[in-house]
Amino acid sequence: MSASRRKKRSRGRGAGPPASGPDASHLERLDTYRWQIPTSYKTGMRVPGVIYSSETMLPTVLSDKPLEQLANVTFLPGIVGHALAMPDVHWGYGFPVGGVAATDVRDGVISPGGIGFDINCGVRLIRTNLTEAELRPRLDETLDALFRAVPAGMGTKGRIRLTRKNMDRVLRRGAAWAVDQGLGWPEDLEVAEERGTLAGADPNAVSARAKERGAGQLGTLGSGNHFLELQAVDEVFDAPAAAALGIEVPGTIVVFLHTGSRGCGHQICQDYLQTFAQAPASRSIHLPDRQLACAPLRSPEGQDYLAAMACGANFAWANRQAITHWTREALAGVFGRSSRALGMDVVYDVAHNIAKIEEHIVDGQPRRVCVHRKGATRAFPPGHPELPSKYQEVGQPVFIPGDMGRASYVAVGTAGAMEQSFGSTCHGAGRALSRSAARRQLRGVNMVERLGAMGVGVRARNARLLSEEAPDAYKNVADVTAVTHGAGISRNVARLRPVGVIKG
Amino acid sequence: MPGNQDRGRGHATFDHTADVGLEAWGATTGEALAEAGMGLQGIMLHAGSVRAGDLRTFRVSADDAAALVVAWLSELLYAFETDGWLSASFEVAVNDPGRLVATARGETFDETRHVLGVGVKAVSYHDLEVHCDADAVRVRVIVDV
Repeated sequence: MSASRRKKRSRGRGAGPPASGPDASHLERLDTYRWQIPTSYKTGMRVPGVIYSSETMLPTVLSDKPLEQLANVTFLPGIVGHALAMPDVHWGYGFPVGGVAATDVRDGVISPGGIGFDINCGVRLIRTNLTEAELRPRLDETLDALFRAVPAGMGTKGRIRLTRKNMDRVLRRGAAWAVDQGLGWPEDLEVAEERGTLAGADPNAVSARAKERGAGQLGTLGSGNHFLELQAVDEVFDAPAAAALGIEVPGTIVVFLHTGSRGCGHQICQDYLQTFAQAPASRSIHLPDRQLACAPLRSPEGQDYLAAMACGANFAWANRQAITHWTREALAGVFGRSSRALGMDVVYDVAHNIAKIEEHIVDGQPRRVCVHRKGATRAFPPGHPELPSKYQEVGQPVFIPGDMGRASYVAVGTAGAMEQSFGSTCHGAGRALSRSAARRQLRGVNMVERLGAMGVGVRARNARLLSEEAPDAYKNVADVTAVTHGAGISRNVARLRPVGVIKG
Repeated sequence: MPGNQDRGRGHATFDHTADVGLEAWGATTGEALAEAGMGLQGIMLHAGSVRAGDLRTFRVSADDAAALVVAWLSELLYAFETDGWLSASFEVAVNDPGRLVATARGETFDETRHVLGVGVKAVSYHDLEVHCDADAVRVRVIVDV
């Protein structure tokens, strides 16, 4: 990546992305839901890129730059199979958001840009015994209680200030630390990826700056697209699976939580991009985008990043665990029943920005690979040894947030995901409009009133942010999940409808 | 067009699907970086003026001119996130392509007067540009929000 590209732009122009990257003529259609960018598209591609989409969604994907980014991902040394773009793919930095890439642990690399700044940004779903009919009359009171209980927005200080020692414990142990502090139930850990503690975490691999940025932020939501939502089960597509997840009754209220590792994870990623830029083993690797900076998995730098990334992931799991606890307390306070009586079990907790060392079949052979999921969700099938016993029969729960006006989806992992996509599926609706385009389009619109008219109560620290996050800014999540379901990389279980939203 | 512009120096944001693009320019690299700093703050701070109270010095170094843009803005993000530091103005001196010394006048965040905008997570290297003409320096950077 040259720092002095020739392309000149006029001063201050607010131009969008240039229309570069593959167009329809470069793509080969594989089947109903898959298109391929062949290695002939660009010199340096080691494997093809595969895009999950539909005929109607493809033009939107092509109008943005994510496919050029997908082609760039295939330059990573040691990449195996295909680089994949999920149907919610959009333009990111380095990797596209909605990208999956697996590299061989023996001769492959790890790229922090393939995980993202927000390490272990993810989603947790908590069920309740409440019905929408019970919640509606007390919705304002409930949202006020949640807004007080869970700090949201930029610059908000958390309810916990971690000492240096406790920060290291959080980084090592993640959600397990939080549960030991009384922030949750022991069984919460059974239903999280990695039981809420990614192995191999070494706080010595994390800079003092990252620890300092995270110290006051445990148990905070953050801003941007993060949220805490109350949703109602709207329609069940797969009754046995929904029953296994405890969400089989339409009208049941669930809590949908989307946040990550806050400043701690952001700083870890930033630090290692710089480390990798200076490491000799990394410098010899030619890449078309500096943000793709990587290091061999076996190099000391690569190993350090893995140990630091695990710390960031653990911070995120502790974060979602603390918020879970305060959410339970808030609802218990409003409804005058204990959170146990309210049936507030964690359904599951998924990471959608992370790298994991996993075994997959590549070209007919089992291989240990490092699966980068950047805006993509693990979707392991029934019977996978990583899954808790209660989900052995249905497969791993997957949560796909849509937007705050329309819907979100619950799905489960499939054998198809193992065969096609390194056990991965989509992670959300994907943006259709940039933040400023959304603000322009919704100038003068009172988003709180507009969402209220859609039956959705809102508490937000920043009203301007609401239009940037408006339903209009996102693709329709129903289109995205129709592709993942149709392609067989996850199976839709239920659709949820937002009732109340807490935003930063 | 969001941003601040006069003839010789200024900053503006531009569209990027999920993130925010920031462009800044000036007669020298120091001016362009000072504008980039104000631009970053404009993303994080939606409203409220910053008082030119305390003095703070930043020393930042990086491998090259482009990496210096990322390191500088990351330094400001860190100062804001850990101390609530907000700057009213900057003087930035770039002595060689990878090093700068900046003095800032500013104050710490006060929620009775300052309205926060979008939280910035980090500053990316993606599509990073530093373009030097005979009489102007222009930088472009994408920040993750």
